[in-house]
Amino acid sequence: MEWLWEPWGYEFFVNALVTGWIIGVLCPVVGTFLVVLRLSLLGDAIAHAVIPGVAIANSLGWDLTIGAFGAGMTSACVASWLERQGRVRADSAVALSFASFFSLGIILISLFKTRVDLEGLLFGDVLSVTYWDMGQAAIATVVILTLLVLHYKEILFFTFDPVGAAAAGLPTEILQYALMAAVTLAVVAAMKIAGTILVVALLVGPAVTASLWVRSLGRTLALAACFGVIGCTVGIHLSYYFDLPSGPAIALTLFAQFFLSWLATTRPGRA
Amino acid sequence: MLEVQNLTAAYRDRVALSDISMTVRDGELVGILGPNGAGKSTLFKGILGLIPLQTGEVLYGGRSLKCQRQSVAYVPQRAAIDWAYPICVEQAVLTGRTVQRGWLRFLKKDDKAAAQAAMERLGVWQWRRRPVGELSGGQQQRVFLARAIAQDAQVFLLDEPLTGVDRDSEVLLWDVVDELRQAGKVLVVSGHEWGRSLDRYDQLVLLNRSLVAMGSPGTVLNPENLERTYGGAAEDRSHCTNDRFYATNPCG
Repeated sequence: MEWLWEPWGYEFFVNALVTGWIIGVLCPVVGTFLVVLRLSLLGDAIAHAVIPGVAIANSLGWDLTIGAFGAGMTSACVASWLERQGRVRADSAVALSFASFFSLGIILISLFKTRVDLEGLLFGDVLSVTYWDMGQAAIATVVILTLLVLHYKEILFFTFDPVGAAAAGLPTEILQYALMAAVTLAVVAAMKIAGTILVVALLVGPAVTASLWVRSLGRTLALAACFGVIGCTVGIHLSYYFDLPSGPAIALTLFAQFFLSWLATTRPGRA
Repeated sequence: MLEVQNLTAAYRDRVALSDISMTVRDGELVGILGPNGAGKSTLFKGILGLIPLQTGEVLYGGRSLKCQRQSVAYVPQRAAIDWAYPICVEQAVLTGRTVQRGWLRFLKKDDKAAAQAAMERLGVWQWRRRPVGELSGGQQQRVFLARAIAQDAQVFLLDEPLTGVDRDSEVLLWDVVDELRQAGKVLVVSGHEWGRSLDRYDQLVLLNRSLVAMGSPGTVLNPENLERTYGGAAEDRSHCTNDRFYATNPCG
């Protein structure tokens, strides 16, 4: 059994695992709102769109988090603006925005010849997680969960019946941008472990799996966080033992949770 | 009193509603009738300030309705709701208390008591723990009317509340609407229902991108107005009864 405790002797592993627990709560909680609003693609879009911000921040010597957050929010605002013009469909606007930002990011990394570890950024790398990353993830999680608890009734109303919420006087546009900001923060917190390509699995996977088991928003949020923490724990261990990129290891663990839940919740005779 | 003054709304370059003016007194029930695409939902959204208006304003009690949104309860069309959303009946009704309670305040016992009373009146209390998506169309409409009542509003805008509703729910919904009218609330209802049920309205508004006619059912429902509202299709859908004009199946 010694092999089970062996990775705990390494600081990088403990950093990655604790950060994994933090983002294992944060991403599924934020992602649950994307799922119930049928905006899963937006999570994927923001995750791809952070790349140019990372490239620019790296070339300027800034913290990568600032660049990633700025680029993610910019892409979300561009997609939202395109959608509000009413000339293109929402899903097309999101797809076009994220493809453009992702392409721009790859070109900037190439042009600036930055030392960004592109493979690690895209697919996750447990070796890259620092105390600073852990602290940032923890702060983002505390802030977002606190705001969620304080404004739960408004968020529930807005996500269940956006038109009714606007009719009642809730500032739905601000709530929409707050959701985008929360998604971007979650993506930035998770990108080193899950990778920008696969962070969408951590946003959406646990929420979808939880929705197979429970039918209320509060329980979906709680159960999704549990699945997220378990998925990150197992995925990071698999990454260590089999020398795999952490993003795919976590994503496949989350899919295994979903698949087993699907089988367990499928009633005989029901499609 | 709800006053809609010269309301004109457009989606991009296309005018959806042109120069609508109407007045609804407290305790009055007004029905909005018109074919699909006539602008009934747009009128509601214009009244609620959910779409930019090219001209016009909406007043309640002499003040802009935008400044007193908490006084307005809106029951959307069933098609506007995602019924797969993970929410139970009680939580859905409690959303009607959100604005009343205010920001940074948790719902309290009196919010839950108001929601319970509304659910009991609409006969959905026994399903309070069930997901709304598992209810029938009529039960879902009762949940939304319960939410509107729990909101303790003065103005009720009901967008096609009888679509997909069973007979028992329809009777109950009308009973509750009558109670609200007697309580002095302003009620505006859009719909497709026809026949003698139109007699229950104090006023009818015939709409087809602009206001065709407004008045009591007896004065508004005549062949000329229906022709202007529904075009040639009105002739196939109507007959005269006891010197009054009633359409029989305008949705058909």
